[in-house]
Amino acid sequence: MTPATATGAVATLEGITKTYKMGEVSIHALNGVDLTLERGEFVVVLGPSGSGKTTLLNLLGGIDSPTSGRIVVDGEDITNHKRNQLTYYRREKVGFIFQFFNLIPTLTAIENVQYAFQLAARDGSAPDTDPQSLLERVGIGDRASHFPSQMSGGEQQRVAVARALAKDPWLILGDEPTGNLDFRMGKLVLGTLKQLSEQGKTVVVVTHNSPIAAIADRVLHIRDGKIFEEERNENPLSPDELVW
Amino acid sequence: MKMLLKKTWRDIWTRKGQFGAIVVLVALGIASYVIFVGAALDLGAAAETSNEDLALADFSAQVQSAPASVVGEIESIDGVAAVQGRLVVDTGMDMGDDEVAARVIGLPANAHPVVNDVLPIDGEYLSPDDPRGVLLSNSFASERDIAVGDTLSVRAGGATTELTVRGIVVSIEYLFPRRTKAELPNAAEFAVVFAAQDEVEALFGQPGTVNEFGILVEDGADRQQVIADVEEVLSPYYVLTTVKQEDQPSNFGVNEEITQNRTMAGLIPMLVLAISTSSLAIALSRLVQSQRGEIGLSKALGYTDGQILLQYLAFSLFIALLGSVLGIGLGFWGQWGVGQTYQTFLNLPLLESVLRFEAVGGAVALSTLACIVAGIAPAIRSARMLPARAMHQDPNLSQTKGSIPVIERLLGWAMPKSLAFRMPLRNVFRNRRRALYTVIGTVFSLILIISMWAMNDAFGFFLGDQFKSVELWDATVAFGQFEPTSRADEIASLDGVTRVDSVVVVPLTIVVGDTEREITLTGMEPDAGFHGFKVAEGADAPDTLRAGDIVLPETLAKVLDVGAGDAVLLESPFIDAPVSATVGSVSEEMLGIPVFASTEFASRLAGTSVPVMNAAYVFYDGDQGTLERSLYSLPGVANVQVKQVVVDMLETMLGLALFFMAIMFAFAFLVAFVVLYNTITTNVIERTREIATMQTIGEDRTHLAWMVTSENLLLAVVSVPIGVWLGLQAAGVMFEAISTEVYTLPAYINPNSYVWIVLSILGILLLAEVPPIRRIFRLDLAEATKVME
Repeated sequence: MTPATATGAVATLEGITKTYKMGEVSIHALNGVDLTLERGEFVVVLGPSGSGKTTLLNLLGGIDSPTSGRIVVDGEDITNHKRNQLTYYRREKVGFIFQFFNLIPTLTAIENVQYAFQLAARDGSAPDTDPQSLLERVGIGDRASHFPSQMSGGEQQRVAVARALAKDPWLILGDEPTGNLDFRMGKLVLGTLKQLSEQGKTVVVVTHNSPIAAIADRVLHIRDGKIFEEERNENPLSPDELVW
Repeated sequence: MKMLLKKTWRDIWTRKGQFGAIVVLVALGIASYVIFVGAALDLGAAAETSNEDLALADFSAQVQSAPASVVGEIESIDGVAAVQGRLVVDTGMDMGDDEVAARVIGLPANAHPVVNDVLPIDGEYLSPDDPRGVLLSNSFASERDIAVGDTLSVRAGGATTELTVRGIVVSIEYLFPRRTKAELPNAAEFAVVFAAQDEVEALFGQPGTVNEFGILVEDGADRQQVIADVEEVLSPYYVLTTVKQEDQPSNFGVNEEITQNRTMAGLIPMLVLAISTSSLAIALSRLVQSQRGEIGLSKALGYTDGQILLQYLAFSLFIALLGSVLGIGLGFWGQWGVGQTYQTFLNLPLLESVLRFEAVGGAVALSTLACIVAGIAPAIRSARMLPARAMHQDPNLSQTKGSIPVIERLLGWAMPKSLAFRMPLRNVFRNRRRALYTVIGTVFSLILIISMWAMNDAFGFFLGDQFKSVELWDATVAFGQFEPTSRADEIASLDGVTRVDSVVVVPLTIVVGDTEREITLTGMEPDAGFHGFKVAEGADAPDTLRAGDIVLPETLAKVLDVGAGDAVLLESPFIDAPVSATVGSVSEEMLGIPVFASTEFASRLAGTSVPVMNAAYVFYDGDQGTLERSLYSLPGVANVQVKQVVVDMLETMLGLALFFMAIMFAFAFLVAFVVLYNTITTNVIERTREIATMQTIGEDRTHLAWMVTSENLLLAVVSVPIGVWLGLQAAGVMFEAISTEVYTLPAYINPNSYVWIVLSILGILLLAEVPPIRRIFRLDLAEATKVME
């Protein structure tokens, strides 16, 4: 299925390599990856541990830099960005969803979302979002004033999704977003992400959990730092239909 | 077990910064103990050895004048082991540009004296073949750069006599170069010249006479009885004073120094050790807590509780061992430095810096115990857990509980809406124990800094106040004997002299019940203006003097337990019966133990029916060197002191105290830095994932640094008032402990100092933040956002 709002590439990766030096050993985490992410796409990246899928996500998210190659996101070449440039890039263009939710424990649900909103608004105009509406959109509007410690894992992860949306990014990156959730909560979160892609956001989810691939528009199989297989789902499942 | 120890080593390496900081804390605690206790023990040992080797008199008696034959009479008294009679004359010495006070002491030319010996450190002892060859005190020689073979121009019998320095000696009686214990030691202005007894008699026209007896008492003899018997024998010759060994001016000073050092050794190292051990306990406890999962894993793999405890014991002992080695090394180096400073200030030749078990043992034992307790207690808690529970890492369970602090609930409306502002405030309250650790660290640091700062201010205040509002004169002049008060006119007629206050100074024993003290009473006119009185109790000083009563310093009043209106007994060597006097006023005196009365009253105690004088306070407008020379040229003048010289000398003397302060300041700042570094680093490490997440979602480094800083500043707002208050209490205790009968340090802090103290602690805080903030800047976000906390 092609998203209704999709219009062209959001991100392009050309000949990306990433090599980590560990003592005298060089580990090639990514080895010549070429990839284009379309607007409104839901992409699932599958692969065994150490295959390079998280490295790919980190490079897209601007929390790591490639050894060689070129990364362009939303028209911005971030390949050689300095740390502070990458900070501004992440602040404005990328929404992150982590396996361990990573909410700020001293902020309530709505404040966690507001924090990302305030960050995005710090350097110029505020994004066209409303933290309370975002929480309602992910189905936890009534939990706005609760602290993370007062919420279940699923609720926390949905706050994390709302936080990722606060800056109104084109790109949402999820690293095992259901890894610490039970089946029911996992489906709820995936449902929210799926909705976002349908509304025009590009969502990239990295996971070990292969059944999740069934809801993706596109599935990338990574092994030994290379995308060795790419599948397009012509008829992706709805998250409600998922079983794992 | 080998594997666990290997893991211990790797844990150390992983947290080398924090580990190093804990080691430094332990080392500082041990070093401060070794320095102060070691220096006090070195000084004590040197004093004891010197007293023994150089036969410091158990007591000495001064008379006006007695025939040398009386020495034989004293020797025959039961309990007297040895006696040395000699002629001691106070005079002046021409140094070319200026005059200095000189004390010429007669010694046997053919043999060392049996009591109060001297130790030649350069040149040779006296020789009958070299009657004009003399020995000079090493303190004066080094201050004035005088060597063997140089010539001294000593005033004797109205003329100047040239004497040649034959040897430079250490005199056990003049390690602190001063004549009375109320006097400030002044190496540059007070020369002690030892000459052949015959030569001294000839120079000063007193053949066959002695006026001072140094006496050693036999072991087991009753010294008090011996003193009474000696005074009985000497009574025909007017016993001016009898000075026991502990009151001997130099010995008193050395003992005071030892006592002060011991007091410091009891306070400062304990404070540093307390800070270091509690910081150690906190840091280790947090480290072990953070390894809960690993402890669980080790147990799951089959390691016993005992083996796990042994692992942390090894960790703690390793810290203790490294800290001890470093601390002992640093401490001994400091102890040696203090020893060198004593050499400079006290010219103690027998001072040796020795690493002593008493100094090292206690500190090492205390630190090791603290390390063990600090490491083992949290490990026991974790080892008791079931492995599955210890290893369990549920992101929900590990979640810190959030809440809005009361202050934000109450004042939130007035606070900025920015969460970057509110987060530091909430962080302060989110983990009270963590906040408490930071507060404790800051408070401890402040206690140390304020104690030291207060001492610095107190010395400054002491110097300023004493010589601006108490000692109002420009110069003092002392005569060798009582003179008619008309001698004051002679002084007044000197060029530049604007005012002269004549006084009569009488050595006395003041007695109240069983308590007695040797004092000097100054008889003065009620309208004399040389001394600024600060009356703490009773009438104004002039009224007291007019009423024929006495003004007593507060320290002496405390010792004697008397106040205004109480009666005391005054025993004078010049009259037979004790005289009763009423305390009219009690005055605050920071320096010395001056007792004041009217000239008439003091003259009566001096045994004369008409007012006399033996000293004068001079007010002068002109060159002080000229005044000094003019005063020395007056007949009968034994000593002249110029105020500026006294101030300079006092400042030099305080150099020793400043040296100690510098050491302690360094300790205070270093301890403060290490404590805060450790606390802040741990605070940051424990929030690694949170900080990394903030960076990942777009928080910039400047704001993150500011958040860490503002969190610490908020804690400083709590810590600073507590620390300042406790610091002032500690300073008060310290002042109390180091004040003596001779000088009282006021518990005074310059108001500006509060600003500097607060700025200092904030400066240290900011400096201590640098490494943890750098750590934040270097975080691997990809890794750190996945860390389980």
